[in-house]
Amino acid sequence: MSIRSATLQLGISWILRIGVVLSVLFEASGLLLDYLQTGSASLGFSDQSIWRVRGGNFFDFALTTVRSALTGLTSVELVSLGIVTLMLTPYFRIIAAVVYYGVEKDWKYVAITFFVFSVITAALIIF
Amino acid sequence: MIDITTALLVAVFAGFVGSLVGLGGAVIITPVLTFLGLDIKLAIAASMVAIIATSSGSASSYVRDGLSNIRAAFYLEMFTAVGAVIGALITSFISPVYLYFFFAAFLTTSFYGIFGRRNREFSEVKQDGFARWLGLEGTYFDKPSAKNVDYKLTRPAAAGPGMFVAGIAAGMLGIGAGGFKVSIHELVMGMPSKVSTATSNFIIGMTALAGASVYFASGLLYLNLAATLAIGTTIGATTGARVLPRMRNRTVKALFLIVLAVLIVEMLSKGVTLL
Repeated sequence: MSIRSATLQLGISWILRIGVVLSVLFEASGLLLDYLQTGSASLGFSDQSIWRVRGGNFFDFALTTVRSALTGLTSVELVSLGIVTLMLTPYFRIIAAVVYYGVEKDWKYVAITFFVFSVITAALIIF
Repeated sequence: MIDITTALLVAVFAGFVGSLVGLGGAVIITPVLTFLGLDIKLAIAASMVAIIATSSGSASSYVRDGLSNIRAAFYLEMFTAVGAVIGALITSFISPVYLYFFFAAFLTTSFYGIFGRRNREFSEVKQDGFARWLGLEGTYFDKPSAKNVDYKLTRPAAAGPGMFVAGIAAGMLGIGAGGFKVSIHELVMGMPSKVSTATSNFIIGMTALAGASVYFASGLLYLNLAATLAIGTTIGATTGARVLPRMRNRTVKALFLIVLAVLIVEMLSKGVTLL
């Protein structure tokens, strides 16, 4: 393994680790807070449930979550922050790869990783 | 009604198995939660988020250890991501009934192909020009044999369309389609089993990200279930990622064949139910 590819591996590995730890911390805190407030560990599902995501694309959801979190953290906002962090982790790893190959002037892989980035971004916006 | 502990235990098991054979775990989580009384659509939506957790949880170790081939992953993800988007777009117009039979046939072919290679620990691959141009090769430290293993990959041009089909399966059926991906890595590209598992785990997070976004708009995603499953698959996957490097390629293949057999039965039974 070359030193160059080891750098990319280490960078992506750290992005994944930080993303995983943060998302689990947010999600677990939110679920624990909910349990302490309601005393129930049941997973209920109804249209009126506070846990139901009601429409919009992922970026709408992420922005709403961050805005709400700035005004105060409830159990739902903590869990939402965890889900947003979780979903942004693979997204950031793609961005890291585009930047890395760009710095390395490996244009073949800049094109490949940028194509992947564009398709995933389009999917997150369209749906 | 399902409680957090049950959902968590199911997810830990799914994440553990998934990290060893290159799956996201939705194929375990969805049928078990449905069996326990949860609406299948809610189970699929939350599973798509849990797949991302399996991927990130296991890939953080696999990438650091050099087991995931990042170049191959991004090259193949070009096809899978496009397939996943198209699959998600056409899923409202095409009934999945025949797809289940098509995918069952595809997986059966893969089963026979991998079964024929089940005793190969390492195999020599003659690299073609396109794979050389893409720089598809790598090295990893194999703990059971205590040596560095150099490997080369081949036929990326044939693997691309295969991964596109895997992406369609992921988008249409709400799965990570790791079973398809691992089969293509091994049978078409000649990837060593452990590298195949680790690379598939790296890819499925990106594919699932494209697929999961569909469920934000659908109103089928419940954050409490998604978070519980994500925590569970993360625990399972990070544990599995410590086990895989100690396993032999042959053992990984044997485990994958068992999971593949379960997948074939699951696809066929879903197809028959919908007929």
